[in-house]
Amino acid sequence: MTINVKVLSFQDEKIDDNNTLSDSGTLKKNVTLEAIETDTNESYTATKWLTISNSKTDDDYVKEAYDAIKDDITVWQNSKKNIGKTFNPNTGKIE
Amino acid sequence: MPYIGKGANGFGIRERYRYSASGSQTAFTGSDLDSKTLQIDNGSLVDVYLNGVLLDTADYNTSTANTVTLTTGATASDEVMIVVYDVFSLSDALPKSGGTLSGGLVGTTGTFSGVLKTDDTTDATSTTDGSLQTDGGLSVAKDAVIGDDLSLKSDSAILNFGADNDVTLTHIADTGLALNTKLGIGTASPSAQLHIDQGSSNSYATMRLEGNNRGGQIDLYQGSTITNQILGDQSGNLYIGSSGGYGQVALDSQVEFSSSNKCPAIKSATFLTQLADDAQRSITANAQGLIIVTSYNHGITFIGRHEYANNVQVISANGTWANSDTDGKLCVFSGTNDYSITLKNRYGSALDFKAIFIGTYQ
Repeated sequence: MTINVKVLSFQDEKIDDNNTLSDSGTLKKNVTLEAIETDTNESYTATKWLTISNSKTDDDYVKEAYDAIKDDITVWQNSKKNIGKTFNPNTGKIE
Repeated sequence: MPYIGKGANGFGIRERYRYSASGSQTAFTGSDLDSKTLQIDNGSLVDVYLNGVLLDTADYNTSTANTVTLTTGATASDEVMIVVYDVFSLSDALPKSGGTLSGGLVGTTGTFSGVLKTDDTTDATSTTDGSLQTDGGLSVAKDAVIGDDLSLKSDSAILNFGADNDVTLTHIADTGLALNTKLGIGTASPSAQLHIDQGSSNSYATMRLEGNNRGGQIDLYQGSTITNQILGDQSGNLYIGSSGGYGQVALDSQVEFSSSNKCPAIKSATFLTQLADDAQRSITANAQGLIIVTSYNHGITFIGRHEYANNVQVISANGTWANSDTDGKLCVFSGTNDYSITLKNRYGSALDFKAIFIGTYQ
């Protein structure tokens, strides 16, 4: 299964501690990534609000967001991987 | 053709020389009465007649080159006739059993009961440079196999198919090809002008229209007038209209959905995406109208109205939904003076969504 990761949003937003948009919140970098499974075209989207720093490059932000969600992507992939397959009672295996 | 001569190594020729003898002449050589010069290649291939009587070989000899010498001198005015047979060999001839010609062969017709073959490997780029050429047509009763390209060099060239040429593929100069009847792909009996038959079970018949920084385009005509277009663009948008091309296709009439037993439906059959908790994404851009969002996991539906000047207004939704960014809710909202709609999952766990928008794009 091949995954392509697409950046859906990359913008500064004021957000509160609950990740709710708020004019009184803290300005953070909204990085939304969509992981697309190339075989099925199914996707998983996650958003991370990251601390803004002058020392971070755009790549740094996206990598930080990706590192934060990659385990969730794996969980999502695992939740999909057996859907549609056939269970063979004789072999006790999913085929 | 009969041949005169003796041996198996060649074919004979015959030459006759006539001399009128002088008194007691024994040697006959040189020019004869017909001004032919006596030439003897082989003394044993000579007949000598004296006044019409064939002489015995004991009566003459040919020991001197190109000379017949009588043992007894002739009487004046005797006629001495010398018949010389000779052999020649065909130094450059092809036997009936076959062989190799190093040069060309020119003739009128040729009939071969076996394979006619040329080992020359000259490629053909015109009608006169290939290793097998004909100024006329080429009739082949059985299969023909071309190892490389096949060129039809004349404008309007036609590939004919069938015993009566009922199917033709015609070259239209500088334009393309024209097939005069139906085309079947994957079927032996096409029932439409283009019939694509995918024989494998649970498989789609496919057709690919690949644009360059655009998608595909299908034009529908009434006679020579375009009536409808179906276009897909590079962003995945699908346009159905009367005409206009990319970015301008406009529907001047109606799209009609016909169904006999079920309510016609416009639906999003695939998951929009799975949104992680707190994840958000814009699900429309530059649009105003009605938005319907369903949560696959909860089996609930949000129906809202979106206007540029206002946030999304809830038309129908239960309390799980919200039209603002609210923790614990499934949120569908927009900003003011904002054409886009944001879907944000604040429910607390990842969820699957489907959505459809009915409205106008700016």
